[in-house]
Amino acid sequence: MASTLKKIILKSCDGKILEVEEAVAVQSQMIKNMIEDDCANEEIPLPDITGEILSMIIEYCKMHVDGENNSNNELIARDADFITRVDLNTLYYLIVAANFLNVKSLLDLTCQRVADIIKGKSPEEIRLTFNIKNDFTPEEEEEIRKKNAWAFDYKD
Amino acid sequence: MISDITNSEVDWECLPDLCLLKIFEKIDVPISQVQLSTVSKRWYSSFNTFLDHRRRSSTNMIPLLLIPSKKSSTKGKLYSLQSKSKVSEIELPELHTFRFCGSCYGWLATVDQSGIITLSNPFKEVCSISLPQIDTEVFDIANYPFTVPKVVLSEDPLLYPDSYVVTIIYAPFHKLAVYRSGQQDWIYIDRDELNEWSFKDIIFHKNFVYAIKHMNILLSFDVNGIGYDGTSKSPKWNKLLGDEQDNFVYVRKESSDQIYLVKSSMGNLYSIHKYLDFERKVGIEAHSTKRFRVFKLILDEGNGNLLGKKEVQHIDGDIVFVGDNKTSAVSALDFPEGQPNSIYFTDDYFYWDAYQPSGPRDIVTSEEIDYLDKSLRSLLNNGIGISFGVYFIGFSLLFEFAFGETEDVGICAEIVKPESLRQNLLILKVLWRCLIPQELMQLQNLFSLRPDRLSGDVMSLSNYISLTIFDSLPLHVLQEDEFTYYDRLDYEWSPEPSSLSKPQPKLTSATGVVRKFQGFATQKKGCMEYQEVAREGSRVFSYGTSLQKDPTCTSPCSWLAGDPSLFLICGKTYLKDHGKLESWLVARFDYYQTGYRLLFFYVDLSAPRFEACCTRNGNKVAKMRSSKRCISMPFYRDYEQCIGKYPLYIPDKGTGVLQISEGII
Repeated sequence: MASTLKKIILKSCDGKILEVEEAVAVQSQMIKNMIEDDCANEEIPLPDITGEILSMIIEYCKMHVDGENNSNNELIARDADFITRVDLNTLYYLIVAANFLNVKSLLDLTCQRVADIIKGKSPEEIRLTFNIKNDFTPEEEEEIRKKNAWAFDYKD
Repeated sequence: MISDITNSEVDWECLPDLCLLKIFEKIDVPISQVQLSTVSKRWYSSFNTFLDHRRRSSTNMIPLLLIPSKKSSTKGKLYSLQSKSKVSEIELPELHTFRFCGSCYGWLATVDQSGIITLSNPFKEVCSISLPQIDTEVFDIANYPFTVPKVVLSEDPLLYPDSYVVTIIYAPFHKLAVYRSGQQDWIYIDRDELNEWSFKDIIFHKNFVYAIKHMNILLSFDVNGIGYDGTSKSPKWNKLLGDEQDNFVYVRKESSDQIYLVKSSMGNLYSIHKYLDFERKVGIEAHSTKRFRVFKLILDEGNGNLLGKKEVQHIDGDIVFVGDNKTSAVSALDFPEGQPNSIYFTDDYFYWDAYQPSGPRDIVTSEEIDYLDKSLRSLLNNGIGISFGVYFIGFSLLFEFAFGETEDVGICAEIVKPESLRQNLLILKVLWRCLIPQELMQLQNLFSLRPDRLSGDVMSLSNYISLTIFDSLPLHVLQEDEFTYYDRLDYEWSPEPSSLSKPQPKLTSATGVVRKFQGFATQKKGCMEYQEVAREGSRVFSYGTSLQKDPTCTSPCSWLAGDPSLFLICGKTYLKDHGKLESWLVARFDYYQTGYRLLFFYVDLSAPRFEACCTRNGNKVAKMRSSKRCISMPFYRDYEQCIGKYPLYIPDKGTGVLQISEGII
């Protein structure tokens, strides 16, 4: 039982130190691997993750560990509540961090959120929303559109 | 400091590849995926990687077209719309007494004369599955042999061996029967009533079976519980929609000729309505596909009820395959070689009153099918305006006609370039069948040779065709093995439905006759003697018994041995040079007198290289040239039936791929 109460110490890129219960920390496959390899006895530096993002991720992981006994629907509702509070920039950092820490459920959740934002939008609207620069030449873009013309003529 | 980081402009282009792929994966709408791909180069390349992964792992397999091989009836060819090599070979079960009646998840369904459906999987090393025999009382075998228009599986029997469900539409009323794996028997729905019949297509969708029938009436029943309790209680129909309600069809004074139900790659349900054009040529109806209409069926997620339907111009961008197969849809993303938002179809129409192995005109005429013999294509393309199919069995041809009024129909056979002196000899054996035989009383003595079109000499075993001169016909040179295939063919040619209950007649008459002639030839010389002996022989040997005789024509749909049926035609220059040999058999049909609609010719040709034509009112209408190789195709209309991971139909160039947005008139 002692091992479940063991604390893992995480250090964000801006120097914030967070103590996390092992049961929560192992939601991250990366940290789990480190524990298994016995590399998690000292503080683990996370170079690309800010304290704010790290706190959110820990909040998310805690929610999942605490909610293990809850019904699936309840968990989905909590996930939805969690993700809709997040703005686009934060969403981006969450994706990067979830990918780095390898928290599968969070990566699914965040990517789903991006997908939901994208769905139904035209390429122009997507660029505007995510501030993406169109680096195609008009000819290239025309070519690609032609290739998949069926998707652009779509009317419901 | 923290807020500095989170508030600074993030660059979504910098997301790791894995995350981009994940986002594509989460956008489950193909159209949105494509739209996203055109945002920037980075997203575009990620999209292509995504497609790559998807195609490699996809279970959504693209249908293949099965084409029987020229080499053997058990070797088929698969035509792929996807791969570059296009055609590959495949082993098939023996097909002579089967008809393909559907395909699903790579399984091929065949039905035999007795109403047993067999599922076989030519792609996997697995045993075939024989389903229980369809009750002969409900399945009118005598009049509707092989008639199972649809076989649809709920799941792949390989993956769900204990729980898969089979639904079929069966003759004669096109009602439904359901079978669950492991059960003893079929469950016949509405067995003794004639309330719900004339079904067109079936689909499994979220615990329900949806079935659509004529007048666009949509019904459903709950698939759970079918057969679980061991009873054969018929599940209850739930009527969802009919044109009595929306009057759509009758207001427009037209109804669709075929209806399909399909689930798109996005999980939406659509009904697809095919409209045919019927053209009357000399009293004959020919049909071609005119157009399609598509309706989206909006269902209640919970109870499966229909909330509404509306006509649409798209099927979620999918490519849909309709025909005798399980109607299936493939996302354009999984099938980039296909034409998005299109229906690939085949001609699966057959007349209501009787199953006719006819009418595969929409498929095989495609120019794309370059491996099809050119002459075969011309044969199939030939616009004689009748439902017309050609089947090859060994060196035999089966011509099938439907026609009306008065017609001269015949077969012209020619040995084009005899390669050896001995090849200048034709043996024609003509058998024929009518679908409405009760009125066939007058059709005995069907064929006669046209003397003006005969370049050789004839020895007929007929009482009606006088034996002409056989000067120095050395019949003894005929080796027995040149004729042995008759036996084999006769065995294969056993479509007599009622023969199930009767023993097959002995099938050696042709060989026997020939043998006898060999005997005569070695003993005697001189044409007169031959003539007499032959006449004698004709009575003795009773040629034509290779098929069951039905002199009273009372048994339904029987085969009538076309007495006289066997002609031996010998070139004038037989054994002298490589001259041409032509013979022309003609039969005269009077539609009003006989009332038949469809007639099959079955012609055996002994020559290794020949050219055979159908003739019609004195003109050659379709031509077929044999090669040295045996041309062999399975019985009935099998060759246009398709299998594959799903079956596929290769359409006619003109009308085949109907892009829906353009297809609506």
